[in-house]
Amino acid sequence: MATAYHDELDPLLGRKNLVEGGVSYHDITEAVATPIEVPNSRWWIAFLISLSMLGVLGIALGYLFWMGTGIWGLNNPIAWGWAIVNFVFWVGIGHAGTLISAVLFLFRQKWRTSINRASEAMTIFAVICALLFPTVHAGRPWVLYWSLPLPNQMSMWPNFRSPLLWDVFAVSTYFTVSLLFWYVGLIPDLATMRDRAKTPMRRFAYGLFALGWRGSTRHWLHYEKAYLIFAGLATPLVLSVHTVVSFDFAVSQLPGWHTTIFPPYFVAGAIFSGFAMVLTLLVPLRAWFKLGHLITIKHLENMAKIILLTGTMVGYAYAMEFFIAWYSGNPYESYAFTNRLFGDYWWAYWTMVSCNVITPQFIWFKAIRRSPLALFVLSIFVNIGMWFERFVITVTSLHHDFLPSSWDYYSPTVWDVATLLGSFGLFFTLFCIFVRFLPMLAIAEVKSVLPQADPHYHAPHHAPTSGKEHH
Amino acid sequence: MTKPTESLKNYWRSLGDHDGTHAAPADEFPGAETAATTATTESLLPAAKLARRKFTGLLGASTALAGLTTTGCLRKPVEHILPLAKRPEDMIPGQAIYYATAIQVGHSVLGLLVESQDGRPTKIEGNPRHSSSNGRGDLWAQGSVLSLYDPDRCRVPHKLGADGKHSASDWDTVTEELGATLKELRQSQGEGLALVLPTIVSPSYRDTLKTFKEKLAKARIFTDDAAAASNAVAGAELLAGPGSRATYHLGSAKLIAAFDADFLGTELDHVRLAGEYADGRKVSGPEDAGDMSRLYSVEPHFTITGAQADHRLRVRGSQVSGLLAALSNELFGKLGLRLPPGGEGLTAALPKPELSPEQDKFIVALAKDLNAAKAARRPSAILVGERQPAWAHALGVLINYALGNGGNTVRLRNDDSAIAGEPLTALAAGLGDGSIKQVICLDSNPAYDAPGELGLAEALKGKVLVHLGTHVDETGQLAQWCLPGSHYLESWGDLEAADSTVSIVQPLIAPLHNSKSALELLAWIASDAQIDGYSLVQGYWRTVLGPMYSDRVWRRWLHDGVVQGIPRAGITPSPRDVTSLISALAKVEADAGKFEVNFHLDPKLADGRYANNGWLQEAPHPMTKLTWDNAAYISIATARKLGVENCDLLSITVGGRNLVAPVWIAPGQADDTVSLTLGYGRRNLGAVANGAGVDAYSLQAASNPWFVSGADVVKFGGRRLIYSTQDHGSLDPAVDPSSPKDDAVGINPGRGYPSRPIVRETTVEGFKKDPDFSQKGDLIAKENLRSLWDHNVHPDLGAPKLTGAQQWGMVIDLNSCTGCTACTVACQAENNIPVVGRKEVGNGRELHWIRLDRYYSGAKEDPAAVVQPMLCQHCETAPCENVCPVQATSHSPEGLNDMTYNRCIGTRYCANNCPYKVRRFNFFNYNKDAVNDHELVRMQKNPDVTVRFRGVIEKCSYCVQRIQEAKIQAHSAGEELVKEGAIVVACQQVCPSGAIAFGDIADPNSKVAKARLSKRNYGVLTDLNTRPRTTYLARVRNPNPELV
Repeated sequence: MATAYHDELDPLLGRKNLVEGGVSYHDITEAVATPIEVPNSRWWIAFLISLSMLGVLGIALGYLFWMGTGIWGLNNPIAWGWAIVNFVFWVGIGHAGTLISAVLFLFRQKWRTSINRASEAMTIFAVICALLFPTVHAGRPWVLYWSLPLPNQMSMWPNFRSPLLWDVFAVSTYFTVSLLFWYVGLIPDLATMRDRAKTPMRRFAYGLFALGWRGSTRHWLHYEKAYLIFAGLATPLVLSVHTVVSFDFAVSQLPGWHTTIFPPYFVAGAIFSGFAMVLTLLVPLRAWFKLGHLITIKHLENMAKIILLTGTMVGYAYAMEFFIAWYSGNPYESYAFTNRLFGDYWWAYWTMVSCNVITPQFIWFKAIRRSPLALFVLSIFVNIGMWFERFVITVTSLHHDFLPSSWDYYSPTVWDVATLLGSFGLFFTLFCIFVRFLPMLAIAEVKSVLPQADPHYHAPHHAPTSGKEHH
Repeated sequence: MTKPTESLKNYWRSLGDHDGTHAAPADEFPGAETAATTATTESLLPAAKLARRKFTGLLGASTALAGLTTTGCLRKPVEHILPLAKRPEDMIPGQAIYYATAIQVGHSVLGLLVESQDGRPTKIEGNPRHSSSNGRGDLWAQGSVLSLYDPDRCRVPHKLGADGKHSASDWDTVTEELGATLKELRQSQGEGLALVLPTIVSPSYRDTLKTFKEKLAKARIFTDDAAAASNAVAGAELLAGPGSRATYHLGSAKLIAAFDADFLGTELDHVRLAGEYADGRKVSGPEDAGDMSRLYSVEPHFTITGAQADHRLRVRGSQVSGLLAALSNELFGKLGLRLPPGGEGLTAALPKPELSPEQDKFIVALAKDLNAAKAARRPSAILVGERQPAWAHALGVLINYALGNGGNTVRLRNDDSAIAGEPLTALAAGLGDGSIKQVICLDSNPAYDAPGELGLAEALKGKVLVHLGTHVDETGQLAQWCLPGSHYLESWGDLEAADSTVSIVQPLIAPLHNSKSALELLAWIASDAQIDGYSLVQGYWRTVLGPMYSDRVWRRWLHDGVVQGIPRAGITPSPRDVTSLISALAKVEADAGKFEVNFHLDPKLADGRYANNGWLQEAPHPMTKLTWDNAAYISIATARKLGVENCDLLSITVGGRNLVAPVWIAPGQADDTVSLTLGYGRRNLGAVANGAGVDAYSLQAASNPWFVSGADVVKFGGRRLIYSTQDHGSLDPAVDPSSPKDDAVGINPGRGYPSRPIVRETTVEGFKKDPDFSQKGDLIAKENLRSLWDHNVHPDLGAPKLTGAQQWGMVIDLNSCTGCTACTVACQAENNIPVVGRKEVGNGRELHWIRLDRYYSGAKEDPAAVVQPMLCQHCETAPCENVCPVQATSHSPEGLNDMTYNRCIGTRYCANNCPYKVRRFNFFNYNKDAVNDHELVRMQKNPDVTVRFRGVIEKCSYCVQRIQEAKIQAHSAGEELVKEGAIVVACQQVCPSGAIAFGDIADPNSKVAKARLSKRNYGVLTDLNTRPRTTYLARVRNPNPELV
């Protein structure tokens, strides 16, 4: 019960302990590495469900490539539908990981250590899902590489004025940096896994990716420097990716898209949805893998607070959009926003507002923000709300724009639904594989926040005797 | 491209044609026939769409056959090529040649120039020398070229077997077996034989009919033509004696009153009338706005003529003639207008209907206006529509003569050689009493298009001896001998237009299938002689001209497309006396109350002859924007009363006949009336026609096929989804009459905002008061619009890079545009735009490059309407261009917004960023589907235009291929610039009202540059700084101050 729960305090600093239960270094290694080494039936269930959803994606995309984008519910005014909604949704989710690992790292927020590995993995998989959509939504995906600046004998060059091209660069850079950042952070843990490996195959695989890590001080020195540099590189990217994604909309002249508030609004929304997704993933994981002492209620609470903050920012942005639409005196603009409230898609708008603005307000209550179950439910609502936010922006703006003659209604087809479902399949399949083969917590980093890691640490009398150091 | 007027020698087909040695070159298109016949082996009507199962089946079968061929059992098909080792003198591959010909729908004849690409007719244009087209056209003529290549055409003669099923036959069998039957018939002088024909306005056909009558004196001739102007003919004859015909000429008319006359849409000579009407609405500035003509319209169903009208009165169809009588009472009674000589006694005989205050006000004002016009010697015209009874037509002509319009806006002429065919009621009676035993139908389809009350579809069973037509239609399916008829582009003939202009119909191509023209078959039936069409037509004219005939004259006729210098009877009829009119008045049927069902020629399918034409099925209805379906049009009040919404099924019962049709709420429809268009609900005609709409003929009454009262209309239950291309019909989202949904929900999303300044209009008075009215709608004043870019040498010409010497632009005059939709189809023909089909239109994916936006304004029940053609605006600072990641759309130095299909990867971002939403996406590989990729349909494609593939955006290119052709021609002629008028884009070419001007805006003397200087010139959404190259001339209405 959340109310009966009391945070453990660090005996030395008096602050709340980031790892609870008085565990030793070895306990942490065991807690994280054992699930990877010992097969788990629950994992198989999750994996098979995810894999079958991935199969749905395969079918949906196969049919899409065979038939064309006409299998989706798109039409003349609404040329972007669920594919773009899903793209922005997944990119948004992909924000939390790097924010946690890079921004919080730079700000010395040590509580990040328990959650950064899984959320970074989530980022990478979310960006993979995101990258899928612009690729398959193009009318002729087989020539999508034309949007890359590849030198060719015809001197054909992409259009650097197009926000879509900025997107290509922004998202791919973000993906590359996030992947490398994640990988660099993994190296010491991979070495741990290599050292613990019992089969030659595992030893070889972990050993290969551990890049010969031996834990020497020189290694650590280089590692720390590289990590810091990556954190520095990744931090602006956290802001830039969603800013550029928002340019896809903001740079156009469509009422409802053409607003200067979009970059900060999108970034806030992305962090909001990203943290919600981290919660959605970690709340069950910490229960299933019994990691409650590493990912503590304190961690969940911190994330909930960020969700409250960003959710409120998003709510402010919603309000500001309306104010500007009214204040501009532009009838097209005003109509676009009234249409959101009361038009054909009123239900989408109100779903969005309920989920994104109203739901996070529950976090003001301590009992709720300290209850994993409540947070899990809340996070699901936020995920739904943020998907709807992208739907509202994309579809309601397009369906009623300047000339009423072109106005139309958009409804998804079974293939739209299958593709979204399939992208979750891809995401969860990748995440299951991650959980199965890689340490889902940064073992080395978590150890560094143990009280024992403090140079001034003195083992209390009842200190665990089995404190055998073991990396 | 050879321009139509340039070269004489290009206009006939070959020397053999006019030497009389013409024989259809058997192998002009060697591949086509083999292709055509192979497909017919399996079924009578080749399925154009391969079902998946069938496809898999065929796949399996062909794999099996492929296996067989390796064993040497099958030969490879013979393939033909055209080895032109020596190029024929007047043929340059790739260069189009134009030939003059003509097309007929009912009594309307349009003179045409048909573009031929390497022997394939590909595009229809109007013949500038022909008075009824004046170089312009309509959507029917535009669509007709696709009908030529219709894969569902009847390709070989079919014989009805004992089992009641058709089997493929050949002409030799026909000659032998049918020849024997016909011989017997000739021996009995055609006893018990009925010949059913459409309207015949062909002099040579009439001559052949004379022979027929001589040989088969006892045979009876019937006319079956729903598109014919029968009531107009009967009306003129009622007043001015047999053979009299009335035509209207609006060139000088300052006051036009249309009584149920959709003279801009479907009535006789609508192309010419639209042009003349538009000329009368030309306004250059506030100073001459008062000279504009004024149009009154009285009609039950909102037509494009009603949309043009300055005053429109919606009444039941049966009330229209009463209002005309009220008008004459007003004119001849109260205002003391004198009846023409012989008109005595009419006033007493005229019905005196009771009018509502609104109607009374309308009629009084109209009468006053007409009288004032007469006093001021301003010509006026009263047009009575074909749907109205003959006496109304006679009365209309009479009032016109009384107003002094005789010989001016209304002209009578004599058509002495006309064939007086008996009506279909007589055919039904003859079949009923057994006096008619055998029926021959040439290009007619009584089993489908006869009024349902006659029950001909049943009565004709077993009675049809011969049917000749382009399709195995409803009558063809019953015929003992169903023979393939030639398309007009495949046959020789001649046509006399309503104003007695005669033109020669010359074929553009040898018959694609093994077909004969109706003329050829009739000649054979009449005289047992197999004479080819060329000899019949040329022979006829040789006889008519006698010693005056020469090859030179004949060649001139073929070249010009107009027959000149033929002897004419010089009698001009005039209104004689009104005795027959008075006796006709006595027989006027009273309105039986309840609901009234109105029938209309379909603006797209006419009487159903274009039902299997994909372009015309997919063209949006000019007012309701419905595609692929007809519907029961009812008013908003009627819909409320019946408790129905769009697409709900309605059961309409009249005289024991019942029809279930989906509802479409049409603002402006008279209350308690239902309007249905004809031509839909075909029974197994072809892949396109099948399943489209409901058959309104089945509901028609025999006595008056156009409207019938006393109908019971109730909600049937259930829905049929029918699709319109425009769901929202108002520029003010707060009042959207075409969207009753808003009404039901009680939500007005746009309340409180000004309506959108997309279409701008004013009245004559308003224009005088505020000459700059067209600029008033801008949200941001022009001087406050700032661009990020420095502008180049031409301050008017926008962004940098517009370095071309010529700058293309377009101006569309909203005062002239009637919304007839001919441009949409012309564009489709010119630019290889595929047909996407009913389902895809329902998905909102039609590909038309030019659409006609129709907006309502005013009261929901009885609104006014405007139309606005919307196509790529070729913005100088085009929003679509900078968002494309691969630069697939870019600006040409001459100001065109070019689309590079090959480069397009299909992100559709450009479509999102286009504020005019004119960009269209190929969601599927439409050009490779069964309908568009048929080997016959492919022959229509314009070789100058890329056929687009799946996944790319397309849009209006300002017919860039025509611009390039003109530039190449100018270049080879050593000129630096393309001359004004050398480029005529497809939509501009066809526009019957000449609403579109296109040319070089950098040349201050060009028509388009001058139009851009007009006070009425405005751009749509210029506030976005798009600097569109297409601009509009705001509309000016000319209301009667008394009625405002």
